Amino acid sequence: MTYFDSLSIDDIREMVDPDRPELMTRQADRWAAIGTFYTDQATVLDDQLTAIRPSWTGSAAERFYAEVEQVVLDFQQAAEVADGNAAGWHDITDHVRFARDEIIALHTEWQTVKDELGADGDEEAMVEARLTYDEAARSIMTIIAEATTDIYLRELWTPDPPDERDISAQQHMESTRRSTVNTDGRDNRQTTDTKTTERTDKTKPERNMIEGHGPLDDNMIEGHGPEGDDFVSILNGPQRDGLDSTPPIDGPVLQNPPVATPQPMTPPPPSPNPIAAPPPTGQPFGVPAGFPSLGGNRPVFAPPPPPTSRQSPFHTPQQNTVRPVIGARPGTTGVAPTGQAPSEGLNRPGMGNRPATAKPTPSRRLIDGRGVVRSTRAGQTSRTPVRGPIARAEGRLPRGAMLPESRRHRAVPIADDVRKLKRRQSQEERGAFSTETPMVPGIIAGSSRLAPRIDPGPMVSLRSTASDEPTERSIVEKLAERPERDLTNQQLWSPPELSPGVITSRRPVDQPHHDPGAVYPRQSR
Amino acid sequence: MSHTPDLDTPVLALTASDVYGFAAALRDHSTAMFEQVTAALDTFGEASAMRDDRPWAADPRNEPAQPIVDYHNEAMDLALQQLRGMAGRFSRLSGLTDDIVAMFQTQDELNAAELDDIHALVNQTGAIEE
Repeated sequence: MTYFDSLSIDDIREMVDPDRPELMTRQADRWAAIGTFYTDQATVLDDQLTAIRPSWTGSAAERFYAEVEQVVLDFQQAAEVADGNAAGWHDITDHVRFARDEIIALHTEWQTVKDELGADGDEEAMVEARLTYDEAARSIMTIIAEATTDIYLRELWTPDPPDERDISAQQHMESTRRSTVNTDGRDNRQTTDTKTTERTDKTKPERNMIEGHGPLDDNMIEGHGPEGDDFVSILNGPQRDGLDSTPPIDGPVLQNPPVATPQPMTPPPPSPNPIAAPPPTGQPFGVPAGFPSLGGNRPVFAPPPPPTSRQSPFHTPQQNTVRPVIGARPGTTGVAPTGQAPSEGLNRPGMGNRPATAKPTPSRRLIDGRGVVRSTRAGQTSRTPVRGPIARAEGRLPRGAMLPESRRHRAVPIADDVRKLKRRQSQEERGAFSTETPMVPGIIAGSSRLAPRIDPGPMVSLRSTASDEPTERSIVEKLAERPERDLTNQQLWSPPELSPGVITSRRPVDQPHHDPGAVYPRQSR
Repeated sequence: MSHTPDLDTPVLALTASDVYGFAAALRDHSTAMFEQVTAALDTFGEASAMRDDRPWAADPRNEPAQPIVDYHNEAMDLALQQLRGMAGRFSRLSGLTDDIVAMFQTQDELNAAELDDIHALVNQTGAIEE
């Protein structure tokens, strides 16, 4: 499948110019921060639950513990979705960055070629070269589109916000907490307003996305530089590291996050150059991880020789496209191949295979409260390809079951085909993980744990059907009973219907095929 | 309402070795978590700011990427809702625990608690749907 059929290399260059992989990375880091935050909360709560279990037992206690466990589970599931989205978005970002770098490099080269050919006045060669560059650009974009769509289908999931009453419970919590705190006199802190998202004082920057070929002024993007995202730093504050140790018996046991800053709503002024801006048009980044067939021209970007009809920048159609490494990604990190990293085209994005998480995170608390080895953040690569967030509404689905309910609050409809694909995937997964799936017994030897649903009943000794000694006559009669339809099989042994001049030079004969007389005359004694 | 624990109850003992310490710790934690989440969310002027103004496929001609970006934007919006909601989830658990330690102010009372009592508190607090 090919997308972008109507777009030229110039169009595609314009199209990818507004892409900002740096900001996408920041988004992915936010996902990761949320996932880490949830994981920390779940861990703390689970540890506490483990600690208090011996102190209170009984059915009432178990009822209460079930409530706590459910909260732990909710946090764990939310963390799973967030972590998965972080990894998936990092992966998509790698592809986007790669495509953008490639397209820019290709376009830069095309402009050089165009100038050269324009000077020569060779219109025909110009047209041909342009078509080649167009096709190469489309190929890059098509591959990236397919790869990112695949990642999207496999790895991006919608968070499941708690009920509205959970959100409104914060107000309930506030009133409760104030009365509690004021009574015991331990804390008189005032909390910040819960309405945190109603401020709309920011004006969205107007982005002229496709004007010119140069990159956008990154200062137009308000907020925070990719290096210091306040959202991430606050959510994953340094305090959380204190959670790694066993909670102390005395003193504040749970995490003590930073006290809310009095004026958190004023973002720090954007740094003068918060984002490593890609070079402007015409200024190539070193040697992009480009096309092998173009490698000779890349380092100096000297005008290539005017391509003739067979000496286009790409010698063969197969070499026109960026050939990704299928199923493997060299290297151990998820860093996308970029133009800044000169290479010989070996570091293409691995299609269908997520790279290692780009965010290096030290392994923390590999063992959870129940002694189960948790997947570390870096261990996201070990997740199954199709992740299965668990629906809260479904109760106690096994871990890994797919989200069965329709996604809620869909603000922007996604393409029908994509949505159907996702839904169908979910149905399959749900069926696959259903504990109601009947099992076929006895197929695998030793599968004693499988409860057979089909009772074959006791063994009955039957008289052997081979007890009668066959006679020659019985054999002849049995063979004579072959049905007529077997003639079709017999024809397999017959000489084929002759097609004159094609298989054999013999002329077709009208006599029966089985008459061997002419060929093998019977010898008379 | 019996949300206010007695001053003489062991709730003041900040130990997580029993439910009373758990209640106190949870109370502190939910408060701090709420503030932490609020501060984190406040870094965005508005919820959509997390999207960073469509850093990919802003050009509508990049058709294959549009549903992906739309989906991701929606997911990020929901993530922020979820973040608030999870803080509320924690606070409700804290409220439930507070109710329990307020109702059963000694360990003996706690051990004598009936399942129905906890059920009633859970339903009252509405911590978790059945």
